[in-house]
Amino acid sequence: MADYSCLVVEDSPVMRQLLVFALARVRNLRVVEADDGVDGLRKLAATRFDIVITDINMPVMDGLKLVRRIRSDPTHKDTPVIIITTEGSQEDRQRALQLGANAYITKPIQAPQVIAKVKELLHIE
Amino acid sequence: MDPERKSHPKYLGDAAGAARDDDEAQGDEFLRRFFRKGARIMRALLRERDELRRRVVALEEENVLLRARLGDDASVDDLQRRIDELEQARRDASRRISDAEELRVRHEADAARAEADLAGLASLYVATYQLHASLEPGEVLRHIAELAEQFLGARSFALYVADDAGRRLLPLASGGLAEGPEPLQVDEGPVGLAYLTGVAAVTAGDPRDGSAERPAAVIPLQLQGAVRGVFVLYRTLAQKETFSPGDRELLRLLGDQAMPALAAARLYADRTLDLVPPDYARAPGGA
Repeated sequence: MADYSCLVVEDSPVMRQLLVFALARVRNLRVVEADDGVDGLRKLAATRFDIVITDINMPVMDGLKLVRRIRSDPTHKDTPVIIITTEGSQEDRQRALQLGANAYITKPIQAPQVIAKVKELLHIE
Repeated sequence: MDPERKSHPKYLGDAAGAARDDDEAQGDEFLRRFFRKGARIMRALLRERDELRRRVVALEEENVLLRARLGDDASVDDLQRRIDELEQARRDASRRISDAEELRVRHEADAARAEADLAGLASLYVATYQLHASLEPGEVLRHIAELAEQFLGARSFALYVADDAGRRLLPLASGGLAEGPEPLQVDEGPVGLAYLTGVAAVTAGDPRDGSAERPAAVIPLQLQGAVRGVFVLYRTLAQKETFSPGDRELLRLLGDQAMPALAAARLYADRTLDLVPPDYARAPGGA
């Protein structure tokens, strides 16, 4: 039985699969995938997650809107959120952090970096 | 002589008796002196005995003290021996801790290497999976672009395919370029060179410094043993300072798998794929 659950919100199947592979290295972490912000919200409404990882640039609902929605929801307002940004999107990164994101990862993502950040926010040794 | 004794009848009548009396008196005197002397000697002996007893007591006390001190010395020796043993144990423990620390550092390095290898294998798996995940040519190209950007940290790249005559290289996909890439002659620049020779060129230096003239990586794309295109990564993002062994594997994978994935998608787009072979019914075990 998983001790923690993680929601990965990413429209790119390539990135999503890479993140899922990386997160499989975190013991007792259950990973749920969402295609975009709306799909992510739908899954957040159905389940409580211990951490959310979301891309910024996505169709339908982007990562910034998702972060805002998460922080305004009493159920998820304290859930740690990691955003995935690109090198040239400092403004988006700052905006996401202001909206309440806890950390960011810059593409190209490295699996050890993702694992370390998730463990840090979940306080896993 | 005592007048009383001279008037005593015995003296008066007997001179010899008088002489005898003198002798007795002298004997008494002698005895008195003798006993007095004996008494003095005895008293001296008693004093000496008492003195000796005191000395014996003092010596016994001194002996007790000396014995106690000897006992203390033995304890000190024991303690010193124990200290030596503990010091040796400390040195042994320190050496073991040092060995264990060295082992821990080595294991951590091994674990980090294993993690990096696993991450590399995961990347290769995901890349292979995604390259062949779609039979729609546009989506295959999009996946190739994503692999370049997300896995290799490409800031700018292009994918060229040779035309049917094999004279020009036509850009099928690109990203991060100010202007869309133009078709190239097959003998033009580093891209043409890679196409003609089939030899990949990946910089050992800083891939962020690449350019159109000196791209960070130029990879010939193979299809059934022949070069049919070229993937060129001009330069990487600022945080991508070097190509890791995993990146080089990924570039090799692109060289081997990108063109078959594209060709398969193109074939599927051009005609409906009949998954059941026409001669299936005649094949052994066929229905």
